[in-house]
Amino acid sequence: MSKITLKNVVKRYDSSVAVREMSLEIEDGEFLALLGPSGCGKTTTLRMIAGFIEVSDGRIFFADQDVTDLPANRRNTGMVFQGFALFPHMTAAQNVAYGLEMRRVPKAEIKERVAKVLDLVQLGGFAERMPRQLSGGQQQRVALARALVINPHVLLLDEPLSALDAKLRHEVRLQIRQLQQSLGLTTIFVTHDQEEALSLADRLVVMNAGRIEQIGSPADLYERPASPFVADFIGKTNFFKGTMTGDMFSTDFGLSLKVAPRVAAATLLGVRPEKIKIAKRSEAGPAGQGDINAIDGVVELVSYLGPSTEYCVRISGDHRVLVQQSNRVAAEGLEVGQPAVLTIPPEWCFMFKADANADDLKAVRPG
Amino acid sequence: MTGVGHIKFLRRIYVVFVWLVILFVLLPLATTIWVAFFSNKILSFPPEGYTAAWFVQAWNLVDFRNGFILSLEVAVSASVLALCLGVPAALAIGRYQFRGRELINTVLMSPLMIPAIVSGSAIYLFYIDVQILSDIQLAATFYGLTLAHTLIAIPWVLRLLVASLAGLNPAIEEASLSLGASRLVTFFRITLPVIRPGITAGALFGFIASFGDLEKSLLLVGPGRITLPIAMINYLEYRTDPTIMAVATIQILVIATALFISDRYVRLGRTF
Repeated sequence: MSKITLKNVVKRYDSSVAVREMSLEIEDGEFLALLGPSGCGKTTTLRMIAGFIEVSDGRIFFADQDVTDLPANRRNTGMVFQGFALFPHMTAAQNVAYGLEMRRVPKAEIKERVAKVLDLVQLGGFAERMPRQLSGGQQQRVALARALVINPHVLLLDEPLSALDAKLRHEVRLQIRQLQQSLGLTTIFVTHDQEEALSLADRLVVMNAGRIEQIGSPADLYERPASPFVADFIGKTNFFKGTMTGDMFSTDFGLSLKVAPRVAAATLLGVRPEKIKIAKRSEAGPAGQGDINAIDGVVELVSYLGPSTEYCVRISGDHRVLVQQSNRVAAEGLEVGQPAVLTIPPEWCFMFKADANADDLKAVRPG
Repeated sequence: MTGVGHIKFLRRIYVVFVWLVILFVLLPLATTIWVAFFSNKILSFPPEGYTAAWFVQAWNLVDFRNGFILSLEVAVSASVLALCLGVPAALAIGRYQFRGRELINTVLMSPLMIPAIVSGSAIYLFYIDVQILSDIQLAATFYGLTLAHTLIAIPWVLRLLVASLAGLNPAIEEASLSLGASRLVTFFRITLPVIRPGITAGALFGFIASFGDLEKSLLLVGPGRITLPIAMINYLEYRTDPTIMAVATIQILVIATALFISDRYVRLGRTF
């Protein structure tokens, strides 16, 4: 178990830079998620930590030891691969024992430790099975056991759940988290699934095009995104372009919204669907001067999600806003075509200054 | 005919056709084996009786005996040599991109595409050139013959092994490294066992290619030595009794055994 430190790590290929000056400190025992879209550099970073990819610049430390020049087989990392990568010609027990054999652990001790770790992942009776006789979830657990049994400095998980079906994914991710917490193992988890990352990690690193966009706890990233990219990548966000005057934001299609965070020169406003209140217009009455940030609109689409309902509402200027409402408040159910009043709370507006990235955002579309 | 009846009829014709093809291939083999047991002194039909005497006769004839042994020796040596050269080649070609990869692949596979008599003559002339330049004799030697047979065994090793490698997940080698194994240990504990079926099948196919070769052997075997196919051709020039069928049966058996064994290691239906 170790603290992992990356200092200005860079990875260049002939025609591109995969990872740019990345500096990161991962505390001992921390569960860190590297999150981002395909090609953002998260897997490259993980593989540099593992030692499969050579660093172009910068250093990597496990605790105080500089491991940058150490080959992968000398770093004592426990890695779980995307397709599990179990050795097909060995039984589950032999797979798990492999790392211990490489460390010249005596046979009797190997047997004992393998049995213990297989019990830990609840595969006690499966020691003699071959990988092809195991289900996806079981193979996953053997892969995990194989990485854990060697007491690695750090556990590296490369999208370990993507090969599993949805229901299994949920179960297995809880098991991984429980295991990690009880063992206190420093863990780095790469995924493109933000829900997974939010639910598992102590801290998240959101990456985009080789750069870190933001590091923080799940709540930090969700409630206080540092950029439009983060606001859009994690959860959903409605965006409005416009200009700021005093404490009013004027959207470019004519709405005037009062906002609580005063960011002078803000040109982009973001607000999450579940923070917007929605009500039938007949009840609330037409949007009047007294209502703060009340907007008239018409419901275009209704998506019933179970715990909540998502509405796509068309407002002035043919813009669409996504609103999510918890279904505990059953009386509010709206139908397609109904006029509605949306209320945007000033304190839940994310304000962003324009930068080159603002134009890359997707507009909020139905569904 | 109705639409469905039309299809059923075509299907039946297709099945008949397939059976005809199977018979076309199997009939010569089956007939050979059958006739090997006829007691007729000359190859003729119908059988006068049955006997296994021709097999004994075949073994008693020096040419057949020596031919069988030499063919076996050369085939084994050629397949071993083909493995030594073909396995590294397959690993390089199957896994890495490098300049000249396609060229090397084509060159190594080319013996399969060149008519045997053409390559046999070319090799013979090459050996003569080598002898002229360096005094090393290759034509009419065991080594020269084995080298030539290795050339036709390598394409088989290469082809079957590259196919086997395609099914190898490279992540398992990374997994081995991450668990502390060196590249050498990874090769012997992980890579080799996983590609062993491909290696075995490649070696067996190389054996078969060598064992059955006639043309190269004709040109390169030299005085005093004989391979089985050559012995068979010679015998046919002046005798036509079932002994030749007995020898052919032995040859069929050897090759069939090799094919059967390799089928257990590599599902041949997938490779071709």
